[in-house]
Amino acid sequence: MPADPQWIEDALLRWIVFVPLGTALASGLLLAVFRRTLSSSLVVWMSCGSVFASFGLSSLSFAKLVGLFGEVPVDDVPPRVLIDTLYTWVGVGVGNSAFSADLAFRYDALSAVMCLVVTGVGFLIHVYSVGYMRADTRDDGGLQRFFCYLNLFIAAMLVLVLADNLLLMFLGWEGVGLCSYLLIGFWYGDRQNAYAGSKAFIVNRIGDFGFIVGILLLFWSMADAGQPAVSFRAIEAGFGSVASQTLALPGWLGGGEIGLATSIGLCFFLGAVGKSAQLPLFVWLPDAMAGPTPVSALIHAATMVTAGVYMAVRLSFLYEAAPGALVVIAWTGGVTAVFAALLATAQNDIKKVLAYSTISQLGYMFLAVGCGAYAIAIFHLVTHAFFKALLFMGAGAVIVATHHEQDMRRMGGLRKKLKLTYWVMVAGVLAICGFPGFSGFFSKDEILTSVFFAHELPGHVALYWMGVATAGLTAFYMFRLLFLTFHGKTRLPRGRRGELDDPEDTMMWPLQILAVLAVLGGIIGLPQFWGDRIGVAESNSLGHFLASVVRLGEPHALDAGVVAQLVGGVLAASITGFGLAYVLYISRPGLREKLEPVLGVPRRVVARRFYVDELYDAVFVRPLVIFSDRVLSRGIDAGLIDGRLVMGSAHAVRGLAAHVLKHLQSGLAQAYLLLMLAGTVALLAYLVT
Amino acid sequence: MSIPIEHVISLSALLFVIGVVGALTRRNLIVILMSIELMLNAANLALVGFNRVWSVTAEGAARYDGQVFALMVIAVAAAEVAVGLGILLSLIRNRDSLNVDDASLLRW
Amino acid sequence: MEAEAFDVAALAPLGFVAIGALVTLMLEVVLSRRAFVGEGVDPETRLVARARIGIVLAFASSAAIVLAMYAAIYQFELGFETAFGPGRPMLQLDALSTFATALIGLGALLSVWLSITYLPALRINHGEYYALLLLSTAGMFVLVSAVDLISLYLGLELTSLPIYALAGFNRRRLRSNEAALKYFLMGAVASAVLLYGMALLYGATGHTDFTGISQGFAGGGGLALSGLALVIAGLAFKVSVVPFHQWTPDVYEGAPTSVTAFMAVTVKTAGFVVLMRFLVLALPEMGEKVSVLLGVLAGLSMLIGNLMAVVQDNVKRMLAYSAVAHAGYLMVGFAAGTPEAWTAVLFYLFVYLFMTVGVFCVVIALAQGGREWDSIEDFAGLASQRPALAAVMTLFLLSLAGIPGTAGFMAKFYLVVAAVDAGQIALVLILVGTSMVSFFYYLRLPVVMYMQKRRQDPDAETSSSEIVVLALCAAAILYFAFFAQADPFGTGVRALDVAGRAADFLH
Repeated sequence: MPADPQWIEDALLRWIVFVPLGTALASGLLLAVFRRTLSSSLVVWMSCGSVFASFGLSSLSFAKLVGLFGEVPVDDVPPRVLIDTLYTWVGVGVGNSAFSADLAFRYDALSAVMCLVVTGVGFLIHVYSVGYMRADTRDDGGLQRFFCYLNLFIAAMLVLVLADNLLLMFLGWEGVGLCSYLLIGFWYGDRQNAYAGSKAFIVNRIGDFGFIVGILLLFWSMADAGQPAVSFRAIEAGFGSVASQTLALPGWLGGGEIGLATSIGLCFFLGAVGKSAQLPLFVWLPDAMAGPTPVSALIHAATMVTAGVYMAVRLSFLYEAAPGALVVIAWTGGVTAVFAALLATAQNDIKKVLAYSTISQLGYMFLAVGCGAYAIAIFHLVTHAFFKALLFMGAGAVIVATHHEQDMRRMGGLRKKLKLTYWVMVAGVLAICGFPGFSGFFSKDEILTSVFFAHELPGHVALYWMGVATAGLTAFYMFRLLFLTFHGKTRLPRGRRGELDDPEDTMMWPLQILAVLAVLGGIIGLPQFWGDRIGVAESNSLGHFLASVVRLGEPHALDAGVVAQLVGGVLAASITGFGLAYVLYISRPGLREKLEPVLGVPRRVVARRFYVDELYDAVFVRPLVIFSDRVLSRGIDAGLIDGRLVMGSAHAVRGLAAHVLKHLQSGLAQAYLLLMLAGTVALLAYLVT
Repeated sequence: MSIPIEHVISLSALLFVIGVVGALTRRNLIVILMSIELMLNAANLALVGFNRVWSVTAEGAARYDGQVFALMVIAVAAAEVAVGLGILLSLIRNRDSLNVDDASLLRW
Repeated sequence: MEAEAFDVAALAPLGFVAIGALVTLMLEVVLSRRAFVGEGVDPETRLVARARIGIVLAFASSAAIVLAMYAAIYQFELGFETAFGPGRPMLQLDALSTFATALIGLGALLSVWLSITYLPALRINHGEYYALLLLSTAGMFVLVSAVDLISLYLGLELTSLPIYALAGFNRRRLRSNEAALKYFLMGAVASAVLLYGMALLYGATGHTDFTGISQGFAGGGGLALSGLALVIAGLAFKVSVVPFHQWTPDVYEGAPTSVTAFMAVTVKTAGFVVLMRFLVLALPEMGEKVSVLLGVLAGLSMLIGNLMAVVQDNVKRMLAYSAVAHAGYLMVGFAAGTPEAWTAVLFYLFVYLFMTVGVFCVVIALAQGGREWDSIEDFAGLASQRPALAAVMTLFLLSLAGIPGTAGFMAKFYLVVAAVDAGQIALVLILVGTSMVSFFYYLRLPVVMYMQKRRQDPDAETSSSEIVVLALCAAAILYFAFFAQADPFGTGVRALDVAGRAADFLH
């Protein structure tokens, strides 16, 4: 098969995935089947080494890819994608609707960025885990099991971002979910963890339903148009012909029509909502904090939860044809950002604050996607991976140092003891709050600028102000976290105060690297406006790099006045948030008690997370169980049995029923026979009439 | 000269329904077994009856499909009763009862 | 005549298992006589002797089944195509029947291996077990090649009668008795209904062979349609489709687990294959109406099966409801009714065999001390005690749930694609939706296995025969997840192509 000019085969790609996968399988097999516990140092070297190797390979491919950017275009299409086809995975259908999907990896600009983040940040977190888990694995082989899952997760995540078609992407998508489920529940023996793990998995089912239906809808409509396709390039090439089609809505949805692109886009977005913990499916993420802290940093901050954003950007060509879906995405993101930021202000568990903060920041990313600013969403994804991983791991360092204290009300004054931890946390906090020059400043500012100029988006002004409000809230809760944890007098129980110190070096040096990245990471996507100010002719290299995959918007007409206005708004909000936190938690802590009665009700509502969990429990979980238990089990199966259904509702046939059915009341073979024969009669009636 | 096929089929349908009702309503396992036999025999009767309708092929040769089928069924039914009685025996050994309602450990 | 010579060879698989059944029966008598003759043999010696006899019988039956499978695979590769019967076809030996024969043989073989240590563990190591199992297998071989109502009926009864006995094989256990009783009663009624339907079909068309029926059918008539309804009901019972499913949970729970595994995979395969052949050969013109009917049965099965499974606390019972749900998924293929859908159904049955045998094998591996360990709590903390067992169990469950990376996903995928192509969108949505619900109960086991503490501390070891079965099933599930259509080892065999060839029985 002659390759398209813009596709370069590169058999190296598979090893990016296979190295961590192989390591995970090897150590898993040894542990489970042969009951061989490897020495902890071997485990550590193997797993960290494999992720580092994977990082090295991605960097190599990255270099190759960048090299291709300079090459002479063939037919105006520069060769900008590496691809590695292993074999044909599935091929089904005949004639028009036949399609085949390869087991193939693709390495384009978008995959490259994701891949480097996953392996790079992943490697740092691996190293950090060594110190974190060493003290913590309670039984034999625990460390090996932990790293086995962690490597498996990295492999699955790499499959997700490197997949060349939707089917393979779905494999990675489910794989990361599974690993996160295993890792959340890693400390077994703790029912709460088990519950949290299951919850994450179950809530994600709803999202996955959307994902699958999206895939099917896409296949079906493309096959219908005679262009069946699963690989991204084929979909992108052929989607134009079906994008303008419409679907008739069924009557119970109010009838009418909906654009095909919009409906497919919304289905996929439902998947993203589940995975990236957006409203209304965010409930699992805070509970997922039951897992070990490195897991929270890796999976629930830096990588897996951003998969939804990645998918939306990957399918940007589809969303370009579906403005309706983009509106939904933008509003979901914007509302989630504010909502989660509000919730974060009421948390006392240090990891939960960060969890809600993650949800809020993911909301920002979706807001950017909704504005069509895909490259900026990825930019924020990258900077967020840096500073949020940093914050989580810093929190983890605090937790380790205080012997597993997570409640900020029992911390305080740790600044003097955990000096290094304090300073990296400060860097992270400043980055997330958008301190000028720090990474979060540029990415957040870019998002708000896009929203500000997104005139085609209904309510973009409101969204802009929501974004600004979120920035203020972010500053408030992050400084609240910082002040409660590190400032003031220590509130630690006496027995634990003595030997406080920064954790060991294996935990600290990943933190320092990430701190540097969190501070300076903004350079990769430095907006041209700032580039001009500091004399960089061609800034925003990330944006230009991604331009081979996604559409970059027209540059906004920025002059100093507009920029001052935009930056000023965010900064004012942030400074207000900071000031409020400073007043309430540092200078006049007494004020909080006075405010308590005033803020009582709203605070309680926020503290109970707006009663969302209760609502879900009442609306989804309990009815399912009750329905199955009462209606099906006791009602139908035993049903004819205790006769409540029959006797209660069928007075008319009571005379007959009392004679025939009373024998069925014991739930026995004859009750079954009756249903079976009734079914037969129904069949008969249907076929004969 | 002979009995019309409708009569035969009506009788067989009646027998089948009697068998069904018996299997549904009687508590004694032996009687239920007998009811099932009745259903099988109703089918046999129908087979034999229908064979009279289809007794010759288009070429004029005799055909015995229904009757052969009925013979097979009679043989199988005997085996079925044997297995059924065996199951009943082991049940009686464990629980001194022939009442079908007593077998209700497995439910929901 | 040349055809006569052919006929004998065609029946080789059937012959092997039938002879195997008789041989094991005799062997048991001879060997027990030698072991137990004379007074004063102490119980310990008896037990050891029994165990030894059991192993011999298991080997004998394995040999018979392996020969049968070999013959079937050989016939499949030759592209065997012959009708067997005096004067007119009773059995049709073709790609479909040889494929199904090999599949059922595999299910039977794995079930035999499961039984080797399970029967002694439950103290029901009686020799007739293997003979019954082989006889039932023989019945299924007849069933899958039946092209005549008479052979269909005979095959069905030969399949069912031994299984009634096997379900009650744990004679001292009340639940086993009850399972046998219920299965027998309902099975007998169902086959009576089926038989009556056959009589009506015969009366309406004048034929008992499928093609003759299709010629005489000509769009219906009340008699023929009534007969058809009764026949579909009777066959639907065998494959446990709602509302003919109610025996399934009771029998699955009460029967010895090895028997449950055996019937779960083989009877289901045989039932679906014969239903497929009957629908395609006897009713080629019944398109729309029958398809709607099958769709309704599919939808009901998926909904009821999956929802009922949520509330179960017994693993075998939960798996029974899950079997109902899977029957529903398969019926989606029937409702679609295209050649691709038949291929998907056959591939699904193939994959289903591995995951189901595997899952029941884990339950069996836990059995000890004369009792089953089949409640969900019995699995608590299994991961820390027997990590490999917990890992493969998780794999099987995930495959049943249909997560990508397992063969269960591929099976569902092909089914869904075929159904979408046939325009069965509503059924596909139900399939996908209820599959999501199914995670709810499939994942309960991994949760208790991985995240709870072990309460009891059993010292049961996984026996080598169980290890073989588990490893085989796990390997197959992983292999077919990625290589359902690929051929990494250059064997020239691609699973989906094989299923496709088998499904091509109509040409």
